[in-house]
Amino acid sequence: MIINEKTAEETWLDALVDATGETSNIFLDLGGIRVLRRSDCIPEFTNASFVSLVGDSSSIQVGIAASSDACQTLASRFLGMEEDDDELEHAEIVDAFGELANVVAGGVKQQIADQGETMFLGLPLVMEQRPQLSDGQSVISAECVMGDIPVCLLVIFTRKLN
Amino acid sequence: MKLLIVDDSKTMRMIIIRTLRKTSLGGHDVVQAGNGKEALDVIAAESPDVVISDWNMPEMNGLQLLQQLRANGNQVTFGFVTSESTSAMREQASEAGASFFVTKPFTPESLETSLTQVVA
Repeated sequence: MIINEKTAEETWLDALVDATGETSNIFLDLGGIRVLRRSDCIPEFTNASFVSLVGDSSSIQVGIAASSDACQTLASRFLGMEEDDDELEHAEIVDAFGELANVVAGGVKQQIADQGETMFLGLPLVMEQRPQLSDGQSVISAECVMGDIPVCLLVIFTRKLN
Repeated sequence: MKLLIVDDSKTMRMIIIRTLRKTSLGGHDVVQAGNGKEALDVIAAESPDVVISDWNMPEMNGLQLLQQLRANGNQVTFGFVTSESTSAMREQASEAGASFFVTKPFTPESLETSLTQVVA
C-alpha cells in the first residue's frame, strides 16, 4: 500500500487554496478556484498581496499574485461593481487586493488553528512588483484560476534563526 | 437605528454596507471609521446604536476599542466582523463584552442572523 503523506509546505498551500476558494465563492461570486499547476517558483505576475502568519514553530507569508488587469477585475468583483459604474481608482484596487489576501489569510489561520497551531496575523502588504525571496526563504505556489481570472497563490516560508 | 462600521479597509466597509443592503437591516443609517481610535471619535460624535468592528487594525485594534469603550462606561452593542476566528479570540471578544462574532467571508444570511439577534 502506498501512503502519500503531505509535507508541511503542502498542508499550508492546501489551506491557502481552500481559503481562497471559499472567498472566491462567497465574496467574489466566481464559483471557487481551480488549481492548474503547483511549483516551487515565484510567478511572473507583477502584483502581489501578502499577509504574515507568525507562530512559535513557523513564520510564513501567504499571498496572491496577479497581473494588473486581474487585480482590477478581482477588485471590481470584490466591491460588487456593475458594468456602468465608474472605474476604480488605483488606491481602491490596492485596498481591495490587500483585503482579499487578509480574508484568505484569516481562513488559513483558522484551518491551522484547527490543527493546534496558534499564529498571529499581520496586516496586508501589497507589492506592485514581482515578489522576490530573501535569504533563508523558500516558496511553494499554485497557479490557479478564480472563475476565468488567472492568479498564483504563494506560501513563503522563512527559516527561524536560532 | 445607526450602525458604525469600523474597518481599516474601505473595501471591506463597502462590502459590509452592500451586504447589509441585501438584508432586513439595509435601511439603517451607517457611519464609518478606519480604526479604533477614529471610532472612539465617531462614537462620541454620532452615538451609534451598534458598532460592527474588524479585529486586526492599525493604531487601535477592535478588541482594544471594545475594552476602551467599556472602561469609559459605554455599553453600546458591539460585535466583530473579522477574518480571524479562533476559539481563543471568540472567548476574548465575549469576555470583553462583544455581542456577536462574524467571520469573513460572510454571507448576507450569516451577517443578518448574527445582527438581528442583538438588534431585534
